[in-house]
Amino acid sequence: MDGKLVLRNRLKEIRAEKGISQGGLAAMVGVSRNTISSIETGQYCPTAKLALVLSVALDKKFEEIFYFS
Amino acid sequence: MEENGFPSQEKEGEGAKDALSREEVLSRAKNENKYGDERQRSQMQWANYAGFIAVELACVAIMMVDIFLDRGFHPEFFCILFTGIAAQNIVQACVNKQKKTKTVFIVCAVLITAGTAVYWVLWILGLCGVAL
Repeated sequence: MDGKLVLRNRLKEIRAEKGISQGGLAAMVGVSRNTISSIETGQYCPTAKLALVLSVALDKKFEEIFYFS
Repeated sequence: MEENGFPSQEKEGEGAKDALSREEVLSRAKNENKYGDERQRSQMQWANYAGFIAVELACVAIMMVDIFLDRGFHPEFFCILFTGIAAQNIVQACVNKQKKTKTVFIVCAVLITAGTAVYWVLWILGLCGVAL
């Protein structure tokens, strides 16, 4: 019961599904490619704002990309 | 449906009258991140904080060197140390309370940096034996 809530994402899968590169997605939302890479690998947890912008950019619902595990 | 910990968005359209279009959201996001995205900004904040700690530690180190080299006690380094810590706390308190405190931050940063630079120069000149 003391496990932490970990925010994970399916960004890589969805990005690949749509045929968008990390650089392409980064350019769409105005962040660096490193930021996208860090989010995908779970090294960086985006703010709600950036997470929502990413979901808008990928044309997906928030919960289709981000989930807790 | 709350399987992922998020409520479902069944009531589509509700409260969406003023929602921006996809293009508008992306354009504004790009504009906001023109000078670095949120991750880069948080890294910069961390770097600034680390830099501040490094300067404070350098002051402590210089005071210790002065004491061990028997060069006397220099209260100005205590001054820098405590002024820096106090200024940082004041700035942090201001930033937490209101957002429009950039001027306070800039003034404090400039004063601390200038003061520190002057004392460092004086200290190095003292080490070189230049009498002022």
